[in-house]
Amino acid sequence: MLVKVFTLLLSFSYVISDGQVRQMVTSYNPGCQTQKCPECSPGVVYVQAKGDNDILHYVVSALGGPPTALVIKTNRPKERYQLNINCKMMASKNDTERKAAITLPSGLKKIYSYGVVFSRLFQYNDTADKADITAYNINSTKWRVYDFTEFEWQDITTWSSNNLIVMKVKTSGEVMDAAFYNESLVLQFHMFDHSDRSKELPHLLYDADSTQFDFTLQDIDTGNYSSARWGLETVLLGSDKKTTGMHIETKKSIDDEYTPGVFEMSNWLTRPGNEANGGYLQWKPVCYLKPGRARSVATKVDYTNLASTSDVNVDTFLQSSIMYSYFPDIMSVSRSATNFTFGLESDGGFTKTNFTSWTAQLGFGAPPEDKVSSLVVGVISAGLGLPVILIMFGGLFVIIKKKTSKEGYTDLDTDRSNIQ
Amino acid sequence: MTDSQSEKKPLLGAVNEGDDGEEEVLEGCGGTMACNPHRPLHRYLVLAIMCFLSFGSYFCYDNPAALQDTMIKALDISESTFMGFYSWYSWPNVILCFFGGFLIDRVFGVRMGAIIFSLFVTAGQVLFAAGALVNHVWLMNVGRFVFGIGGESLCVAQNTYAVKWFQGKELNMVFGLQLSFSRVGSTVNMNIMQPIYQWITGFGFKNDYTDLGVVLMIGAIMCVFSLFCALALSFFDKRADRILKRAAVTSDEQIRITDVKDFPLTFWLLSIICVGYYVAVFPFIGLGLVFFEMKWGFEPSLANNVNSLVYIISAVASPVFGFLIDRTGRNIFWVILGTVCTIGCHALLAFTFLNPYVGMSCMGLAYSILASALWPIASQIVRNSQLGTAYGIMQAIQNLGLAVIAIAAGAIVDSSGYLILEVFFLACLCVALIAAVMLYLVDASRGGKLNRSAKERKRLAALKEEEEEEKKLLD
Repeated sequence: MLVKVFTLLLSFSYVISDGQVRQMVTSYNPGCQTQKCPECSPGVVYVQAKGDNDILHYVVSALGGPPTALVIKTNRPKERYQLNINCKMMASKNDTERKAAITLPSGLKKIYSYGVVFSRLFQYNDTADKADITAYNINSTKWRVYDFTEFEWQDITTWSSNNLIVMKVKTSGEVMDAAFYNESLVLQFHMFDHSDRSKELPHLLYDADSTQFDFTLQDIDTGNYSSARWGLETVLLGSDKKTTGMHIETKKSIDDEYTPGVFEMSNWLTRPGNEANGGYLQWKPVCYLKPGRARSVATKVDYTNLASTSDVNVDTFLQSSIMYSYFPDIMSVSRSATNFTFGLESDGGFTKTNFTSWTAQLGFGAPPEDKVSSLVVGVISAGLGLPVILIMFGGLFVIIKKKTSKEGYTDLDTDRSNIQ
Repeated sequence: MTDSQSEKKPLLGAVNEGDDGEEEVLEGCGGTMACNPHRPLHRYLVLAIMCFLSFGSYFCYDNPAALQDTMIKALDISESTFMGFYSWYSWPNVILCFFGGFLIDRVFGVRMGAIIFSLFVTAGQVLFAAGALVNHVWLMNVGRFVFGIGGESLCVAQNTYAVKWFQGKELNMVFGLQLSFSRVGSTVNMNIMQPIYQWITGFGFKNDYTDLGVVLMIGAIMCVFSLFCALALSFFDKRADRILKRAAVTSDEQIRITDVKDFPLTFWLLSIICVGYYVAVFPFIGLGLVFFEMKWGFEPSLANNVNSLVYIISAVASPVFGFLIDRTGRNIFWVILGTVCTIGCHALLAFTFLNPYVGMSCMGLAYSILASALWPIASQIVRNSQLGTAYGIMQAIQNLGLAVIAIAAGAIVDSSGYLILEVFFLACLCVALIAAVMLYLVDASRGGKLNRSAKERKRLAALKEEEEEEKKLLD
């Protein structure tokens, strides 16, 4: 009963939505005459999110291998606010064509652009069960490296809808003994036109300037690895000079009401110090080992220190991705890489459930922050206020009573018959 | 003299040493300090036995927790089946220990009651062990059920004994000491069961569950020991009754179960404090481990240390605070102090990242204060002839609260996280605090009997004694 009332109260506090609303237009395989387009396989999704003063252009695709989301923020002209995107040119073998596949028409001015590229998956056999990816030498036999440029993806139009873009793997290529097939890797982007909190754990707060993605690994044959764990190599890019240093900021919070048991939030900022005009990747250090997300199946998400992309040799993957079609001069833009790792000491690893799902958020501007809900403030002030009032009035009452009775102990003495 | 006074007379007889002319002449050991019921030393020796009365039950209560992994493996049971061993103990006691207390007052008397409930405890543990020996989980559940019937009611008997022997003397300290012994019992269990199990496996029984059964049988020895304590207490109590002329509750006084409705408001306020406070401490400790791991990033072993701080500190501090409370009186102020401190501790844990060692240590101290000050108050509200029923009710309400809140707390964490859980506990504590303040006000308006300082109590006791003397002279 109490729980019900409590959760009911809580559900009220969820209904907070403000901020701007965007108008969304989704198109598939721009530049191709039909929605299904074999020449652009595995397909490109282009979403325009029109606000009052600006437009966010999302281009999401696994063309070339590495799944990528590119976001371009532009002004909002009276007309012609579509990007010039040609997916056939993006898929072209010709470098000159590829370089010119995404351009801005005159009148559309770029305010900022940023994006995320997933370059590789690392599987390691965590025999020490410390869930620390850095503890193993990359040249040892404890590793399998899955390079996304080798992957084949299912057609993006098959599963996607207006505000959900879904990328599913087809195979991981013969080289890597086809450990991945069909749904064993799913990456989906939720597009938002307003502010709210996600219905799914970890209940991240989103706004009209952000998109959330779920990264899911499942049913993967880990062969002879007794305790397989994963690392996801991720690159964040921003349209600044490459000297602009990116930074991951981790904030602790006393408030875990939205994500039970999680007291941290991390923001990977493309423009630290100028967040309001930069991009971010935001996540809570939690992922889930079963499809029914709950605290009982939660485990940790960690990350390795940010590295320069050239140091960890991922620049070639960036060039294979669709980023190259927008940033032809990709070597000169700001970018850095990290490995997100999943799992915690003695949680059984990926092998135990053969499932891991993680949600994070890519967005523009100051990253959303959790605020202590009014429920907490209300209960605390009522709970502490009531006794204080009671003590004050009660104390007053007692003092007055003592003052008015002439002899201090009269009451007690007449009460003597009850002493035990 | 009114009726109610004559009821109390026997017990007051114990307070006023040697107020009767015809004294029984004590010979041999009976005349020495240690064996003479008139002497404090004798009282303290009886206290020692009293403390061990429920040692066996506390020791065996947490046998499953001490052997959790072993038990799950040896019996090949699931986590929820394992938790069932605790549910079979606790749920029936939501009601049964109320009847246990009533039976002590009405039918058995405290001496017989303690013996009977000790027998239940012993039988329950033996059944539990037998169930493990033959690998039948249902038999083990039956064992825990029987054990529970005994265990909780035995606590009621222990409290009643404590009041009978120490009212008007060191009652607060005695309650503190009993609390500390309950902690010692479960701590000893936690630390020695695993080594004993290892030792037993060395004998090479065929099955793991046989090993387990043998270990639990060894646990039953503690229950037998407590049974002996119950017998010894019964002997000393009877002897003291005879020597000190404390008559047993007279049969003309009818104790009915419906008397409960005539319990004063102050008693119910006391019960509210009891349940509001305890539910904010014990279910929290049950969920604390993961909380410390997640919020402060503690290693599991460190988190476990922090989590057990409350138990360890209360084991040491509660007799000390009990002693202090005996010296100062003013129990309600102590209760309010304990509750306010616990609110502070929960607030620290909920709203700051301050090392939880601080919050948990303070909570251990606050809990000691509260537990030593709270339970003796009941003995001043309710007539001694109904004390068993009263403690039974408090215990039953507390058990109900703990059982319900433990489930609710788990659900709250899963749906809304630890901050909301802490807020929930704070709300419970605020209810306890409001009840405590109400208790003070209600009591103050009726003359402030419960919150007297030790000095006033002494003065009034002396006054009363004088009056009785006068009366005797007049007769």
